[in-house]
Amino acid sequence: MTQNPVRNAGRGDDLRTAIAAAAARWIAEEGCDYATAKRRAVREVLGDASGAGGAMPDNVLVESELRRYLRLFAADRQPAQLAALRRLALHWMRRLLEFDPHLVGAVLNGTATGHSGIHLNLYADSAKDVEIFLLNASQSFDVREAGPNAETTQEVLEFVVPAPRGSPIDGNVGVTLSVMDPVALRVAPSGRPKDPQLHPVERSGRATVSMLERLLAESGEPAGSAGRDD
Amino acid sequence: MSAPKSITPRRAVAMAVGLGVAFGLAGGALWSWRRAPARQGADAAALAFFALTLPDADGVQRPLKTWQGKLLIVNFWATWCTPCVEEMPELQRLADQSQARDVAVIGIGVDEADKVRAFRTQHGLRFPLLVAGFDGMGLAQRLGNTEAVLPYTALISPDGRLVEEHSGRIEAPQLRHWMAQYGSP
Repeated sequence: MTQNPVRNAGRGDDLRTAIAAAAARWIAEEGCDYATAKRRAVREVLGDASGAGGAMPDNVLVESELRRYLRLFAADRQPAQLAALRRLALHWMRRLLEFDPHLVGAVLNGTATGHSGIHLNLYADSAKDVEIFLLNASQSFDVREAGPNAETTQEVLEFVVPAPRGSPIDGNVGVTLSVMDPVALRVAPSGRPKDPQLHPVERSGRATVSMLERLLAESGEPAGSAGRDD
Repeated sequence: MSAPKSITPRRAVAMAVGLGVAFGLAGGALWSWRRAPARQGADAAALAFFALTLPDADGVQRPLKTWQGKLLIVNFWATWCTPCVEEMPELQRLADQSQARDVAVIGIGVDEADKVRAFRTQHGLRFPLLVAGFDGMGLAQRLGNTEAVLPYTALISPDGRLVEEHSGRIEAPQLRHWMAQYGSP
């Protein structure tokens, strides 16, 4: 915890930015999701979560602050962690190829840290087919109901895998598979970053195997191995 | 709103075929991902668009030339598309604010008429909602939707040019910007 957003909080409109900066720190350092991080940040900055009102930052601002935080305070480790997560994601996408996997979330948009999990969207007529695939692969998993996109998400499967040997990530990595109706590919991805400096694949909102391979290649990261072949 | 279970196997097959085409288009479109400027031929696309007739949610045939000559916002959407649903109130607000001007908002549902009708009632929508079924995706693509995704919003100028397009959820500031740039004072 190296920043003190409260110091800047007295500048009217900057309150929202201060909350976003605090939330970004919770995400980067603790691996919080955006909603939890924002609630904690409001308490941290205002001392009371109930008074945030119009000062609550949107996720675009939080992500912007997160990128700034990562550049300033995690430049020595985050790029390597991100690359390792992308290679691990590619490894699982190749394994799950028959379910048309797409990478989404922080590992795609470049804000992932060593706390981040891998989020894949799979497009299949039946989530049971994915479950059977994982069972056949001796991969244990948990099942939870679909969240806010329940119209097109059938099921969410979660499991953890060991971080690749020799990678800059400690411990396990969470993998979340959202099994969606194929029609969901017709819905534009939400929350696509707009920063023109990002790679187009990072801005795409969801990436196929070939798109991720291209991203890795053009980021100077070899895509061939996740560091573990299980 | 319809649940995923309402997607029939027959419809799913049709969609799967469409997705194959979409992938090819999406791959080529990746590098112009956000918002390509109106391309050459866009005017022809707008002309072809105005030559069509589509039924509205009540089954009444509506010639699209009805809206030719206006600043026209065309929104392609579906009841099963979460961001489409989210942006509907903003489109209704814009339609309400634009009534006295030569501005029109129409929705084209990539959906079934009964679902569009139920949605219209449930959400109190008053701007014209036409129904194109899954053919609406092809229509959207011909009107510049190179990503082949929903929602997709196009802006056609009164002189029949496709001047703006937006893939994904459109926000009120974006709509206001369009109105400020192309709307008459």
